[in-house]
Amino acid sequence: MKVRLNGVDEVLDGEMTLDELVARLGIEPTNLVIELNGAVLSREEWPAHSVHEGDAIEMVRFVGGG
Amino acid sequence: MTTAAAHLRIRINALPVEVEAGATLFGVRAAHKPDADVAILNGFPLAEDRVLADGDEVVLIRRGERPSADELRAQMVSRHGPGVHEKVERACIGIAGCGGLGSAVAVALARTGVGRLVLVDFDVVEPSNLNRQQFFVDQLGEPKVRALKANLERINPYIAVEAIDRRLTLENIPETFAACDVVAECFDNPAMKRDIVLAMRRALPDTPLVTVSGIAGTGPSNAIRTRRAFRNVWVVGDGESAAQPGRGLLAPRVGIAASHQANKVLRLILGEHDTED
Repeated sequence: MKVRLNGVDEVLDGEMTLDELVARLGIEPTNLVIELNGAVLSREEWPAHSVHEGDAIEMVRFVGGG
Repeated sequence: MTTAAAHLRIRINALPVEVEAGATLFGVRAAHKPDADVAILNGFPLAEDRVLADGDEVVLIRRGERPSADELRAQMVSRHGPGVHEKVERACIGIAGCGGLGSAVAVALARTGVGRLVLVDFDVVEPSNLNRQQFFVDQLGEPKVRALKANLERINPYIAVEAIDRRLTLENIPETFAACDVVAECFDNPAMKRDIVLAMRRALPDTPLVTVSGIAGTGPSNAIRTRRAFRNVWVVGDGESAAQPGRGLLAPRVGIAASHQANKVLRLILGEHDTED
């Protein structure tokens, strides 16, 4: 299944929810924001959203300092 | 029959003025601002009189005197070039957090003549802030928004600065920045960086947000960049360098990021919404 992840084409082995995707990618979920097909989703919303063929996913993890 | 005397078109303190041919710098000073201590002709302070030529730029300054709003505006228009100041002076920009990033972004935008700034922070100025934040020793203990407003008024007394001493939350972010054209996320806390993205995209999706992530330490300047992250959300930084024990926040790199942020805000004010950087 092909998706576009942070502007790069990636192949995933089947549909999965966003929290599963984050775990699969080994990304630290704290302070991570995900945009799925233009909708920004918080961590509580990830289990209710699945990734499908052709989806555009953007992820930004915020680190401290200002 | 009389012939019209030849006139020179010059500028005095950036405002256009016609003077008669043969007029001199000191003559113009006597006519327009006799109490001026300093007379500058085309960028050079002069102690001796000169005959003026068409197109000359004269600046007359009385030390310690505040220029009028029209005079200061004219000087800024002449510096910024056509088309910039008209948009900048109508803009309202929100600054979420007034620490190392927010204080420097606010200074840059005030110098650029942004018409209205909404400063929000709940903190007070501490000695450790002086390593990178745009405050002074005599402001220690003051609420940051009040100290920053005072500093901005010394830079440009004619812009409107709203100082809001408030802890921002997911819930109050939308009402706080509802009137802003662009918001700069200048928090220290990464959970707040996350929350302002969620709050703005849910409640104010058409208001551009310029965020920051990864600016601590002494890594390369060129690792700090501006890129579009989400719709109407840009992120400045290297994406990795968190502030942590052993990797502090230092003036140069924080200043680089703040200038990236201020420039992105300016580009958005000027209508460049569809750019990646």
